Order: sequence, then C-alpha cells, then structure tokens
Amino acid sequence: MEHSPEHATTTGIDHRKMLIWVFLGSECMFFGSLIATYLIYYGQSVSGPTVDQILDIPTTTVSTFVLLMSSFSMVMAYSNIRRGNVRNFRIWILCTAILGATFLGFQFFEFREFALHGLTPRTNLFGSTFFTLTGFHGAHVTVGVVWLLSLFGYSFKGDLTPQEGLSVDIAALYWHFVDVVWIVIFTAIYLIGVANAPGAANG
Amino acid sequence: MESSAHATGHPTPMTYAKVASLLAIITAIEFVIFYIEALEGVVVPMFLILSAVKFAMVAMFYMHLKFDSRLFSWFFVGGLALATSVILALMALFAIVSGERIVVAVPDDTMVADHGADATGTDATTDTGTDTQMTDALSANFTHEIGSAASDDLQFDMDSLTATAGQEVILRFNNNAVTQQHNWVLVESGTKDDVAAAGVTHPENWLDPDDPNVIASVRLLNAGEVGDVTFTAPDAGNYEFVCTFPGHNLTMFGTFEVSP
Repeated sequence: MEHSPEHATTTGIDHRKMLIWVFLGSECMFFGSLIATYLIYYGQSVSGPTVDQILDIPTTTVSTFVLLMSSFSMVMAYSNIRRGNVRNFRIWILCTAILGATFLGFQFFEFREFALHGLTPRTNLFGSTFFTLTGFHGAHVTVGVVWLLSLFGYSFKGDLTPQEGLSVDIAALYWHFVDVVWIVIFTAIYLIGVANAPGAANG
Repeated sequence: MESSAHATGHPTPMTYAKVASLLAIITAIEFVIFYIEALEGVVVPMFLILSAVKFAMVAMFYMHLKFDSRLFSWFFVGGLALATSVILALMALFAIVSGERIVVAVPDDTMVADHGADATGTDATTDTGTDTQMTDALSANFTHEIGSAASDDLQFDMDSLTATAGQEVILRFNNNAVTQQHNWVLVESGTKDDVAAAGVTHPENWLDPDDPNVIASVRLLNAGEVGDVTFTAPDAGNYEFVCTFPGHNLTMFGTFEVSP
C-alpha cells in the first residue's frame, strides 16, 4: 500500500496530519476545562431540577452505542479508501454520517425533554454547566457530520483516490476524538454523576 | 490483535470489528452494573476503568496511534495530561472531593448603636478558626431567622420581621446566595439608602461603623455563610432592614415592625 503523497518535512510527518493532532491536543484542553467546570459545580445547585431527576441512563446508553458504532463505520470507510474501494467507502462514510445524525437526534430529543422538565441553561448551575458541555460536544458532532458528508460528496468528483486517503484520515481522527470525548462525558456526567447524586434510586 | 496488522502497520477490518464488539460489550456492562445495587461502593472505579479501556481502544486502534508516529501520541497524551491536571487541580481547589458544600459560620458581629443593649463587639475582620469555634460563635437559640434568596437574586427571603419593644432579639442571617455577598442591617425608617450610600467608603462591611441610623447588623457574609446578631428591640415603631452591599439596597430590604 502506497502512503499518501506527503510533502517531505524535517520530521517526515505531513504537516496536515501534524496539525490535526496538535488541534486534537488543544481540544483535550478545551473539553477538559468544560468538564472541570461541570464537576466543580456538581451538587452545588441551590434549586432543582437535579442530576438524578433529569438524566436518563437507558436513552443515553443507546445514543452512546450509536456514536461508538459510528467510529467503527468511520474506520471501515478509512480502510476501504486506503484499499481503493471507493464504492464501499461511500457506503461506510454515509453510514457514519447517519449514525452521527442519529446521535444528534437523541441529543435534540434529550435537550427538549430536559427543557420540558424545567431544566434550561438558565435554571441552575447544573443546567448551565451541563448544556455548555454537551452543547459544545453536539456542535463538534454537527461539524463532523458536515465534514463526513462533504467527503461523501467529493468521492463522486473523483477527488478521493487511495493516495488521497489522508483527507479521510484527518476527518476520521476528528470523528474518533469526538467519540472519545463522549466516552468521558457519558462516564463522568451520566454514569458516575447519576450514581453519586444524593437521593438517587441507585448507586 | 497486533498479529492481524498489515505490513504497512494498519489493522485489518477484522481487528476493527473486534474492537467495535469490545466497545459495545463494555457499554453494555456499564449499563448493567449501573443497576446492580450490590456494587454501590465500587461502581465509580469500575466506570473509570471501563471507560479508560474504551478510550484507549479507540485511540490506539481507530485513531491508529498504536501504529503511527510516536509524535502524535505525545501531542495527544500531552493534551490529555494537561486537561486531567486542570480538572484535578480545580476539583481540589473547590474541595468537591469531599462532596460537601462549604458552609462557614462566622461569629456574632454586633454593631450596636444607641438602642442596642448587648454589645459583644466581636471584631468582624478576625478570621474564623476551627469548626468548633465557628459553631460556638453562633447562638444556640435564635428568635428570628432570615435569609437571602437561594439564588443570586438581590432579595431577602422575607419582606418583614416583627418584634416587641425591649425584646431581646437573636437574629440569624443565612446568606443562601450562590456567589453574592450580603449583610443584614437594621436601620431607622426611611434611611436604608442613606446608610448604604454612607457605607460605600467602608468596603470591609459596606457599612459606616459610626452611622447613627444603624440599630444592629450582621456583618458582610460570603455565599453560604451564617451570622447572628443579638440586640434589644428598639422603641415601638417601624424600622427597615437592608443589605448595604452597593446596589443591593435598591431591591434587598424589608420592614421591621416593633410593637409596644
């Protein structure tokens, strides 16, 4: 298998790939600060609704599963473009975008449900920090879905040759990053957050 | 799974599928143990370990850090390490580790003017010491209790208080605010804004200690703090209470009625 046509650099690493990894490193800091903000105000809200009254573990487990599987279909799309199988690439990348959109659908449903239960970003510290964190994550997923669909579109222009796998690789790295951020959010905010909430039925 | 990697250093679709199955299984396990009450004590470390495994699997195989330049791993791990440090440092700073909201009681700070009788006169600026001292400083029994709004609204939770002339009043003031500082000041009727204006040049309490219109006060409390004041109710009539923090006096006040 040929490597992507990369410009010779002093490190031997393509600049674009270097850039995406530096960007993802900085994104760790970005989400780290939002997660920290959520955690330090955890349990500090002086009025309800509270974490255990709002978050729904079964629903979010399903949406988490959807996002994890989108990472699988993403990596299958990448694997196919590297082997020059553009047809299969299109199927998998479309599949990834649909799974990503499904996750966003869950989030939209979830946010709407929370608002109906009286939790908005203005309600209390839980609302402010929760919506800021998950809202920014949802915005990242939205950008990812648009990015994936644009790759799907480019594939019809014949721009995505196996040698151009780097474009897919970079989008894939971003997509997987958004997935691992959700792994952290699901664990810290949902599973541990609800299990530890005072007065929670379980945990 | 390493053996299934291509000569080019990239895993096969079979490896990807195995990772996907593992991710799905771990998510299912997390969902199940969430509902097992017997695991209550160990559920947090279990969640942390399981999610760390998921995270590592995605980063190593799907983001192929395992097969790529080490430099990328350093960028990513570096960012992660910094982010984790920030989270832990902030959590330690906010003492959330103990899971307790920090509530600090402060000693009586009675500013008693003409009408007052019980002048304990504790220095308001003295830092509170241990838990015991702080608790001791609060009166065991109080006759009146009032709080600020349990939000950052600039309001007391009561519009009026009553007492009888000459009664020994032990008033407890709870600052229920999220972040706002408040005090509680009893003043002559119609003078709340004058007292607040005079207090602007005394930022330690936002109160002029020699203000003749002040009858009694609880010193400026941080959010979550509690303070008491003991004083003798003045002659029958209407008085006002107010928070003199600059600007708060416009909305944060009430009436104090003293009956004969």
